[in-house]
Amino acid sequence: MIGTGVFGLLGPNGAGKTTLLRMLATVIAPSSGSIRLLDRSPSDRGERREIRRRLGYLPQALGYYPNFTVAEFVEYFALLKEIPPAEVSRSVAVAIERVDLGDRARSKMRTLSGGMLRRAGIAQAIVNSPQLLLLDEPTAGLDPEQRVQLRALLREIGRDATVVVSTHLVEDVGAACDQVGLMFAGRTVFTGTPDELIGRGDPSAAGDAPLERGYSAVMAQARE
Amino acid sequence: MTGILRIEARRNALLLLLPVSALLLWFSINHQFGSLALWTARSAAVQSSLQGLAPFVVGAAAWTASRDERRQLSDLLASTPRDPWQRTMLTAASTCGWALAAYLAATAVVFSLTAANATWGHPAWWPVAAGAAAIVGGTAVGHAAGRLVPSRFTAPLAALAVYALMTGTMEAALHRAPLGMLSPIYDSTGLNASVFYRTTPDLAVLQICVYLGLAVIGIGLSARPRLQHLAERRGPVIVTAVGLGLTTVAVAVAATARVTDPTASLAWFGTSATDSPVAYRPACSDQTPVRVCVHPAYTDELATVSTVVNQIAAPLAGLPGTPTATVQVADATAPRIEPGDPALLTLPDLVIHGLDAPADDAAGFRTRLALALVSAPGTTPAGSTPAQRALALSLLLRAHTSAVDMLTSGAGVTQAADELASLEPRQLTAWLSTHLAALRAGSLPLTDVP
Repeated sequence: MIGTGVFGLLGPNGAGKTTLLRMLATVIAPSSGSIRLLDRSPSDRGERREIRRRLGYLPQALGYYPNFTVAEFVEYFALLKEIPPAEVSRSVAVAIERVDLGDRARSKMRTLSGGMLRRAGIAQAIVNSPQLLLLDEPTAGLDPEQRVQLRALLREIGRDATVVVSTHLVEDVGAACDQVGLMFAGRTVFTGTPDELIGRGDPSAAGDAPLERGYSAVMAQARE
Repeated sequence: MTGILRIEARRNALLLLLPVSALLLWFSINHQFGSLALWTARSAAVQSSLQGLAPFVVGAAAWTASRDERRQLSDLLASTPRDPWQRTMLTAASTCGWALAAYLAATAVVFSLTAANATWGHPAWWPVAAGAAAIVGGTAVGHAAGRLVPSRFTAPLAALAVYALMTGTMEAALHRAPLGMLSPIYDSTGLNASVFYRTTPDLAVLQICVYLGLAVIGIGLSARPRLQHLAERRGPVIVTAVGLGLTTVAVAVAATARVTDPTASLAWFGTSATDSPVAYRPACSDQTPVRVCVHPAYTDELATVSTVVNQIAAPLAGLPGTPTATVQVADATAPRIEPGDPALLTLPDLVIHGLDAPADDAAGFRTRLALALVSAPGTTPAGSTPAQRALALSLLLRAHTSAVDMLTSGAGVTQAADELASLEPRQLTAWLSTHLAALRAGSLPLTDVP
């Protein structure tokens, strides 16, 4: 059960973070068990559609149409998310501004740098003001300044919505997340606040920062 | 929906190919354009333009359809509420829209040029409609191919396959295989016959049924129906089945057809012979020894044809069996003398408008005309005697016109022709009045030719 706020998902490569996010994004169905999202069941076609209207998703490998402009790319997804036509223009403009791409709105996607593409991906994810925002490695490719801005944006969105962020960077978790979950081999091995994760660490654990030491300690325990 | 369609239309791959497509479109049309503004022929040229356009359209449709997988957008798109089938149909619709726009623009240009010069008739819309249906069908099939096999090689392979299919079926049609007539570039009406007869649009209707059937199949397959999701997604399966049914029925009907005339229509539905004739007032030349009359659609050819006929027939004027009038008939392939008193020269509908354009056609027509004037009805160049060929060749020499090789074969023919051509008109007339009947009957040996 994840409520409003920013939930950070940490774990080594292959732990199942991306698979979990794909399930939460209703892209794939769980092989066992069930999920409820926004008080609805994604296995029901009608309810799944309702969930998707309220969902924002940034996949790990963001694809894009190279000949679309940034504005068109975001507008395209706004329309796919069935935002009322009258609100599309404003929503697109707001989303692009929020990721600081206003001056590149008319640029073709193929001309953007890796960081800009990531921000365009975030813009499409937030264009419908989602109640559930799923971001897979959102800070990959962003420079330090942009990462700070993104964390602020996540905290802002997390005030009214559920934000799940998958990341390798524990400092992102420390700076932006209210809750953190650690995954290992397809299961959750820790859930708590960043402070609680710090508390699990001991001075002998690997890591340069308290949060890293907490992460290392939990992982070492999970591997035993 | 309109918003997505607007973006799709603005960023469609076919837009980038439109200049090349337009060029190929024009080449394809120009290839069959002809100098005579004949509505039926121009309409057929529009349909045949698919030879250049269709591979690009199908390739662009496959390319656009495969982009989501190629661009790794599947996950992102799958997380949106819009029905993927509906969304992909909007993509296909934008490709189809641009293709139809290009095709209709070409039609408008061709018809405008034709309207300015045509002397009879009106646009034949059935071939245009069949071409448009082929574009819709081709786009849907190309789109389905791109969806089902989303590889970067699908588009070029689909384009090549369509080109091969079109030319292959066209070749089959020329060999009178009924299914070949379903080729999108096969003239779907009896074009020249339909100048003279009120033909039924049977083949065009059949072609449209096949192409629309293919379009429905393509639409169904674009949803990528999977057996495990049948309970949720029966729609695409039903649509695919309907398309298959429509196409199968249309192909089966075409397969049972008996082809009697590759330039006209399916015998199964009725031929030009069973269609009712179109009433018309012929355009005729005045004050010429042989009064040449043509269908009003061929009015622009009248002066040329009249000059050619009268120049070649001049030495025979007034002699028994020499025609004093001509009439143009459908489905004929060469000039022919119909015996009677007076004899009548029938002119073909097909060859005639090549007179002032392709040199081979014009020379062929003149050669056949000269031979028809000096031989029995239905005599072919191969079946003519050396004496007949010599006289025919001499008529052409006197008219200062060239002949095709088929007249010059045989020992002594050219020499005899030169001798005949060098005779004084009076001498020639005297000789012809004595020997023409025997020569036409094929009983005069070459040695008796002066």
